Amino acid sequence: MNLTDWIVLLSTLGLIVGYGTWRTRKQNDLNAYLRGGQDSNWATVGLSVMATQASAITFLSTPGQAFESGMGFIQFYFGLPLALVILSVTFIPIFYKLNVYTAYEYLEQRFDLNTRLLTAFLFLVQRGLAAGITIYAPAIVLSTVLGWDLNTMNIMIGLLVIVYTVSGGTKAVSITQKWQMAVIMGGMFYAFYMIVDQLAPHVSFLEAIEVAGIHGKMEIVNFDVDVNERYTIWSGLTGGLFLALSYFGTDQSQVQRYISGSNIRQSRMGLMFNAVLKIPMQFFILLTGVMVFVFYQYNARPISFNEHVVETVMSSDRADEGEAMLASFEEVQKQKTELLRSGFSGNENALRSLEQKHVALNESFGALAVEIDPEVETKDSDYVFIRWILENLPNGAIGLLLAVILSAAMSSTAGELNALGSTTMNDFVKRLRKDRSEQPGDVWRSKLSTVAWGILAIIFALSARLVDNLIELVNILGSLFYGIILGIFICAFYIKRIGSRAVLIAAVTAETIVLTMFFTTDIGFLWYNAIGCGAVVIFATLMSMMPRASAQLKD
Amino acid sequence: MGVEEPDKDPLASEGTNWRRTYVIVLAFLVLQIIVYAFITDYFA
Repeated sequence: MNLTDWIVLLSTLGLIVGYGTWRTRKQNDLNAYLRGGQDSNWATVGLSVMATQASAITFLSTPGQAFESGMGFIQFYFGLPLALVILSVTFIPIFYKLNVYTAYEYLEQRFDLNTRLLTAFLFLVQRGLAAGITIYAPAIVLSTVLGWDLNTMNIMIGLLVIVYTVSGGTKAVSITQKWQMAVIMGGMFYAFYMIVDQLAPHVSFLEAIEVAGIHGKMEIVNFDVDVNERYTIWSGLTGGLFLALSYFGTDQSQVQRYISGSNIRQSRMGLMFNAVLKIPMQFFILLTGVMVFVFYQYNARPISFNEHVVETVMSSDRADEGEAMLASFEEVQKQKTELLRSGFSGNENALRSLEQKHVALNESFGALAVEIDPEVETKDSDYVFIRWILENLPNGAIGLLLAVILSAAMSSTAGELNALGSTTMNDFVKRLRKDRSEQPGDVWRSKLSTVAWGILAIIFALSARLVDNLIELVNILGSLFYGIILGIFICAFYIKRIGSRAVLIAAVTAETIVLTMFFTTDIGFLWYNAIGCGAVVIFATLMSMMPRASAQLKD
Repeated sequence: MGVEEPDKDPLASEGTNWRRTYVIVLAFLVLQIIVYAFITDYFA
């Protein structure tokens, strides 16, 4: 990184944050602050929904995922358009009709205050933890690659987000997210163009796709009915549908985005915008990763994309073993490049075999690093894209691509902090005091709660490195609660006979079952989403079907 | 307490034919899956 990169990076981030803060400096009432005055058009709603979902780790990890496993990850998103259509038909009209500020407000009107508070509390716990990770995850990758101080990065990203999220509320979040998405997509298109351009002396774009196909990277859909396969069309359409329904329908960080639309039509169009564009966008990001894979078939590739792994081995007393592996790795690269340049047609099996040798050497090198330092992170797919950016893009463009990654980190964190502040203010502070009407200091109270969540997120990001495998920990915590929340909303929307006490008892019972299973079994944590949701719906339905109990449990 | 009902026919509200919009959105999903299946088959 040189001065040009710094100028591009800081001016891009500074202009977006400055513009968002300036445009929304006067937010006088809660409707303006928490729902952006409900005057957003469909494009703003759509981009804001997209930007909240796409975090920095999306742009770091997704190309790496394609580099490693090909395009199959796209199937994970197949349930998303179905979920958005369901939400557009069912959830949006109800949220608008009841004029809610948060999704949980609806639960009080449908059930009672306790159900609302329980669901809002579960959301605050899981999203509060996730906000810290949204800051920490890109910071750890960027600090490793660029040598920047991790704590400074955590604080810098967190403070920048707090400034405009607190100052302008939902409107500032939407406005900045629009420009952040423009920078993100512009940067990604540029990166894609540069990869294809740098491949041009060796292969055309279509030939590059063929090389990727030889290595199985173009296996996009898998129709096998195999529950052990992580990504198949069936798991995408069912699991993806459940996940998208709970995320877009019950997570305030998303609900807040689309209820800021000026009317039902704008909100629905915003969701349909995502239903149409989300899969092509992910396809494009994955294809970028596949092109990076082809690039490293023709060009020298590091034995590990995480330089820290290489340093660990080479600075140890087992460096000679590392050197031997490195020499073998370079020899395989040489054979591969020669074979490719002589024409890949007819050499498919030889190319596959050389790639397998590369992968095996990468794994052996990682295993050696772990023997030397058990703490070292050997999975290097998150480092693939950032390493390609730093080593192959001209100055200025590196600053732009770093602005892409930091914009993504800031846009998703802003959506989360905004939702955490709104839920605290609306579902707890305002709801639990005697006078529930809007008071003169409510905007300030909302700002204070957003600042508090921002500081908590920074503190959590700063202490994140003390916990092993933190991302998995947060996903596990989320899975323990997400299914219960979705179950409550499904009962609310679709099963009219279920009353408040039935759903509350079912939710507490389901949460107890999920926690008991978590502590006593080895079931994969993703299953807790389905188990929690299913348990709430089944218990609440059963209770409402019992004649006597039904009479007692209904309000 | 019963569930609050949305508009009688949300699919036909606000001057937009939402039923047609949803059909187009879902048809686009099916089209993408067909294209992806074709690409997968081509490289298999």
